[in-house]
Order: sequence, then structure tokens, then C-alpha cells
Amino acid sequence: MTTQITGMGGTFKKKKRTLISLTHGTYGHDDDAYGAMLAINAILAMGTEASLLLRDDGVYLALKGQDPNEIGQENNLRQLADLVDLGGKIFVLGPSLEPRGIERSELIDEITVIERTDLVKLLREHELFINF
Amino acid sequence: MADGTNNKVDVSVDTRGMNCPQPLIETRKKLRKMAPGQVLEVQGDHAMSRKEIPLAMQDTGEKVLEVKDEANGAWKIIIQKGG
Amino acid sequence: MLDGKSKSDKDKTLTIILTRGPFISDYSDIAIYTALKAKKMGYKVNLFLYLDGTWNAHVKRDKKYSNPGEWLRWCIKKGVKVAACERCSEARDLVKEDIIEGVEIGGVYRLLDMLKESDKVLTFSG
Repeated sequence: MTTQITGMGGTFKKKKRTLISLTHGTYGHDDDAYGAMLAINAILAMGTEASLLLRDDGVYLALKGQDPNEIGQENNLRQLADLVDLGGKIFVLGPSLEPRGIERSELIDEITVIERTDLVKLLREHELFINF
Repeated sequence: MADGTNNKVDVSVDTRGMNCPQPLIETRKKLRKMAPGQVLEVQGDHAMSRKEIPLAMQDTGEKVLEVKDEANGAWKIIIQKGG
Repeated sequence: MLDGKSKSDKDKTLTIILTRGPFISDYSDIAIYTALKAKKMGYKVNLFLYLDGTWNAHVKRDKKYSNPGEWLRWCIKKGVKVAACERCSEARDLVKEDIIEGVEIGGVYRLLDMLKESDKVLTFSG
């Protein structure tokens, strides 16, 4: 995602950073979580910065040691692994963890827990916001 | 490893049978682990990815050395990592 | 931007992503009305039908009541660029011949093209 800015001294391209927020669902066929993961991975694969924000029930995606394959359940763990491989950042909203009884130690290592005050900073750092 | 042309291939990835945008994702995952100058061969059969992968590579400074069409909609894209 | 002037509405691009099907909620109605209103205000508008949002493109027959398909056809007539995700359409057995004329079937790549040119993105999802 680039915009061209022309000014004195020439032209330079500014890439737009995208923040994708996921608020629910991690299992199922073609669900919102799948749509979110596909979109963010495609953006990263195109060479543009993108971050994933997990909040509300979306935090369940980041739980360590999930193995839904054992019960034949469609899941997005492969897409999550791709996101990490592609260098995407994953943020988890802290206030979504406590009501769900989830401790930081139960989440995968590759995430950063943020508080509500950090959310504003995160939004400012990204030009586009997509909410699933 | 050679691909039948003059390009020496260092790494290969097979994306045949994958749907969009997985071929692009697999291509980028491999490229991230390669050194500048190394050559990647991507095999695939998804029509839209055949168009989109070269465009995505241009955006990030990778060099598309060749796009080869093969039988039954299959293709190969040879990419040299930039940087 | 460097001369201190901000973009007018006429220079701005809005992309709307719709992930919900017609009828089950008011998401389709709101997404499509928003697209039309933004177009009227001078925005360039893209509408990307994603996940179950692709079902909206399937509503192509006339009905005796207002429906998202009718409004989607109006959107296309008014110059809103409407695209349906290829993979999502294929998963739901939607093919070009069965959907509203003028809806383009493109991959997630098409969404990325839309995002590239966007000043703002609105998502109707959740």
C-alpha cells in the first residue's frame, strides 16, 4: 500500500501500515478469523507492514499448545505460524485476558500484551484499520 | 540446481494445488530466509498468483528473472532476492 | 500535502469490506448505503465482498421488496467498484454467470490493490 508524495527535491513513496483487529472466533470454515489471517498474511507477503491486534474473544487465537487437529476441527494455527514466519507483529489487548481467566504465560511467545492506553499509540502508528 | 535455462536455482518451493494467496505467502516465506543474490524457483498452478507474484516482487526490490508457462496451467517463476 | 492543503473528498478513496451475507443482519444495507452516500459526496469508492459478503452478489433477481442485491446493482451503476473474493466465491459455488453483472471476481490481491489506494477503510464484520 503506497501513496506517492511529491514535494521539493523529488518524489518518494510512503507505504501504508495496516492494523487488523480480530475480536472473535478461531475455529471453523472460512470464518472471520480465517478471513483476517488470510488478509494480514497477504499484506505481509506483498511487502507491506501489518500488525494483528487480538481483543475480546480473539485472544483465544494466541493460546499456546492448541491441537484442534486431534479432533478434526478446522483451525487457523497454520495461518498464525505463517504470520510469525512473515515477520508480522501480534498484539494482545491485556484487558481482554483477565475476564477470560487467561494468564500471559498461557499465550504463545511471539506476542506483545498491550493496555488500553497503548491502543491509541498503536492506532496512530497504522494508516489503515480493518476490524474483523 | 538448474532449471533448464541459465538460471542457477538455490531454493525451490512447490505451490501447486494452493489457492490464493498461499502461493505468494509461501514465496515470501522462502525469500525471507535467503541471502541477497540467491535464486528462488516457485512452481505453481494458480492463475491469479502467476500474475500477482511478479508484481509483489517488484514492490520489494526482488528481481523476476523468468516466468515460464507449462502444461495444464502450471507455471514456474524464477526470482532473485534483492538487497 | 506538503503545501499545507489537505485532500478534498473528491481526491479521497474509501474502501468498504463487507463480510456478512444479505438479509441476516443490516450490515449489507449499511455497507451499501454508505458506499452510495460516499460516492455522492465525491469519494472514489471500492466495495470488497469477503467471506459471506460474497453472497450479496448472488441476489440478482428482481424482488417485490427492497433487498441488498438491488442496491448493489445501483452501486455498480453509480460507479462504485465492487469486487468479490475469488476464494470465498469458489468456496460458496458462486460463479461469474450466477452473480450480478459488473461484480468483479478477484483474489485477496484485488483487496490489496483497493487498500493500496485507500485513505480510509470501513469494515462491516463481526
